[in-house]
Amino acid sequence: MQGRVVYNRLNSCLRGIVVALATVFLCACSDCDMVRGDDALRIGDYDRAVTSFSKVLDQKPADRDARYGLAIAYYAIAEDKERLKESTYALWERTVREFKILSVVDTSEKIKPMYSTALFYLARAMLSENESAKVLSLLNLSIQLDPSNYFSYNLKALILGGQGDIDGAKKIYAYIVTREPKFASAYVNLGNLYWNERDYESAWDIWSMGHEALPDDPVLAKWTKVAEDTLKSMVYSGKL
Amino acid sequence: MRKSCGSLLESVTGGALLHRGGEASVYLLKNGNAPYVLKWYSNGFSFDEQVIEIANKVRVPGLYRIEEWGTRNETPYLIYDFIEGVSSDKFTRMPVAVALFALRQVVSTLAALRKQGVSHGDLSPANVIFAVADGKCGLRTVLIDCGIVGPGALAYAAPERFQGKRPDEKSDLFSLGLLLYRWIAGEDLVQADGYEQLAEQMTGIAAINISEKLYATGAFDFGGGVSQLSALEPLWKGLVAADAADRVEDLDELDELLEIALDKVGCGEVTLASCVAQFVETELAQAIVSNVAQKVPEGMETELPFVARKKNNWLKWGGLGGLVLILLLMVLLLTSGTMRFGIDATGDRLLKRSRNMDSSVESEKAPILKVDSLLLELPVPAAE
Repeated sequence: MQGRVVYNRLNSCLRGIVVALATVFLCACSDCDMVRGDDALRIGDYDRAVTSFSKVLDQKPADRDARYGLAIAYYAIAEDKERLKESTYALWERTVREFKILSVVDTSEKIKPMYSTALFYLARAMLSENESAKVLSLLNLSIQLDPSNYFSYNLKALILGGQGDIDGAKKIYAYIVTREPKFASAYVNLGNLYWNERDYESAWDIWSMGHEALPDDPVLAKWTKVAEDTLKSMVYSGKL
Repeated sequence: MRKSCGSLLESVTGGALLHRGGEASVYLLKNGNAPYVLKWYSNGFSFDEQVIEIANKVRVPGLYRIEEWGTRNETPYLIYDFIEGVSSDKFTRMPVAVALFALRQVVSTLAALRKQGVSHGDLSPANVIFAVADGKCGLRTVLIDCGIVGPGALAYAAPERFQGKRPDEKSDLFSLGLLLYRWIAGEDLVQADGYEQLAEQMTGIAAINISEKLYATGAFDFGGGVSQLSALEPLWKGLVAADAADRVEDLDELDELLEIALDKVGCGEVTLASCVAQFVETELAQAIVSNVAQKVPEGMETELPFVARKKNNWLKWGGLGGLVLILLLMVLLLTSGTMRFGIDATGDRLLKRSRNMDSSVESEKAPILKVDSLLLELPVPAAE
């Protein structure tokens, strides 16, 4: 009888040890996958990074680092496709979905700039597919997540300008160049608005201001010169 | 007097003399982590407690925040929050657009004071601090030293103040005119030695041709300089008038005049913003950095006019040290368990690559985020 009690105790003790070892083994495995994913990300093997981080998430769906790693990997894959000028809508949709889940797991400020940029890319990809796509809410969320994401401001202004809200667009461009004087696109686009209104002097004013801030930018240099020549010809012909 | 219990002077941990003047000595104090400014009035000088009481309740970003006032060792004193900036008398001359922009901020602060029935009474370049702000243009002006008893800085006092009259909106308007001149010209409009001579000159100020005097400074010797001078004319006429009845009606009217002047000097919103931003970047930021006198002292100077109570703080520091140690351990535990710096670093690198801002151009090497060239064709300008 006593022997049976000792046997039972030893048996339950052994079972406990096995369970503990199995847990440690599983944790070690997920740790291995984390390291693999991390390494793959670092060297640009994004597909393998997706596989590794997905394995970790199968075990621990709320693991912040694995979520972030997966989101980054999706982001990098989509951005690589951008360079090939292929359709990226599905890829950015997947990336944004991952960032949305990540934002539940990680509520810190850390992820917000990248989430914001992913939203910008998604908005742009949607517009590439369909020029009249409604993306203002995406851009507003992007700006809310990262108020220093001037790319989103710029795209929002482009859309407003396209919708005929010229004053709204101008205000946004002016805001961008005030906060980030090296943001060439805002000068170009703001100058364009004036040019389209035949306000050549203001267009020149903006482009030349941009050219002064960014002397190596060929687009600004080009339009500054064009506006300058136009103004000169108007003066010679007595129209100004 | 400050409402909360205990004077700030009791818990000062560091202090140094910033400036010793005829009216008062100014000290920079450290109290815990917060820096304060102490104004310790000289014999025979004081402030109007009623004005300070009201100013203390006006909470606008353009007005200094008074923390405490009272009398100690039979000397009136006043403590206010330290402002990270430079008093405007440190600048030689500033662009007209910047001066007008700054004056509009001062006018807005004075209007908030006026709503409570208070006038400043001592407007001078030394009492306007220029600070860097987060906002649109990056410049914030902060008014200090309300409620002086006496005519204030004589070179900026209205003629009626020399006759012993209390400060009012009209006398502040006169001072604002002289302040604007000082900012633009880099020198005082009226220069004289002694009370009597200054009083005489202020009364006969109509004889001065301000535009001519400004032109003679050489600051307007450029194309467009003359039109800037003429844009300023209505301001001189409406502010720098010996007879208070000849000055503009109130601060609201002055604000309108300033807006018109800004428009006339050719300052649209963008140009003004970049002009002010440039001033902040090139002059103000440098002046703040080089203003070594504003370093908050760690220890106590022997010259402080009061004796601060020294406490045995070993128990406090011991407790704090223990707390920091526990926090450090917690952070270490948390980070070692959950965070991998490699992933965060990779994320930062990718984001940096995305947001690079090389040239915006339509070329093979166009950066990925250049939406103007990717989404829209640039319109081809069609010259008339």
